[in-house]
Amino acid sequence: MAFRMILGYDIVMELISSIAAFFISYYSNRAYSATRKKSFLLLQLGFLSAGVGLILDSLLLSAAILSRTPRLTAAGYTAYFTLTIMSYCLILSSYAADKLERSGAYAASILPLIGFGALPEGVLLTLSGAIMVQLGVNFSLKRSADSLLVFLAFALIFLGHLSFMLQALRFPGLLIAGHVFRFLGFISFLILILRVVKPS
Amino acid sequence: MKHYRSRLKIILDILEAIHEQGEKVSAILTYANLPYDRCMRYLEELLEKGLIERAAEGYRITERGYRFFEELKRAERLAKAFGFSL
Repeated sequence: MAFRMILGYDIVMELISSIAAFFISYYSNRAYSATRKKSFLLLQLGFLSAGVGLILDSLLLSAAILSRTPRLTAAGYTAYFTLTIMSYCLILSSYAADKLERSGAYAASILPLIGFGALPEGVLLTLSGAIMVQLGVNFSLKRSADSLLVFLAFALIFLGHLSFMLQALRFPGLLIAGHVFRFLGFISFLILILRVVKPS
Repeated sequence: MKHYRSRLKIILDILEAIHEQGEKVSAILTYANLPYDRCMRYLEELLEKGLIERAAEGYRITERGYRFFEELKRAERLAKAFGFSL
């Protein structure tokens, strides 16, 4: 935690990643407006949630550094953890909505402050892993550059969570790797969106 | 394996047919791979919504139709990237 506060390099990466997430959310919203398909709505909300989580974490980390209040980093991670869990659940349920044409229901819960650690990262790792497998299956069927980019994005985000988990357990050096993996994952989403909006 | 086409996918195919093949109904039928009566029902619906208009030899896409066509193509590409069906 102190390491994060000293460097603050992740603030910029999280801001750029959140912009990528907001772009995906925006184009999912446009797709939902055109098609009225629930899967796009869930995808939109999922990426919106991911973007808000990332931006809150970076803002609260900035505030923690500026105000020298370490507790704010835990508040930032709590927001990031809660919203990322929500994001992954929404993205996973968008597949269920697509296949079963029904949406999932989500129970609201009030979480206590969650510090960055191996357990919450393990939870995020599991959920992102489930999405990665789903996208791996999709890529093996479609074999398109777009489906590869989405698979690659979640594979990198998965590696990010894996690095964060291992870092919390035993390997402090993996913290930067985790941030770089997650950042590259969202850059992959940005590339996808640029390809999708490009006039054909 | 028989592939199910959703209503949206059929509309996208019809708009693409008009865009690619021109105004003639016969060309639209072949390109969109639809029987005559079903294709006409879709064309009537698109006419009512102002997405296409009657032309000398058949139909053409309106400005509104082209905007919808572009949105639908983007949605299809995004859906394919994430593994959804349109």
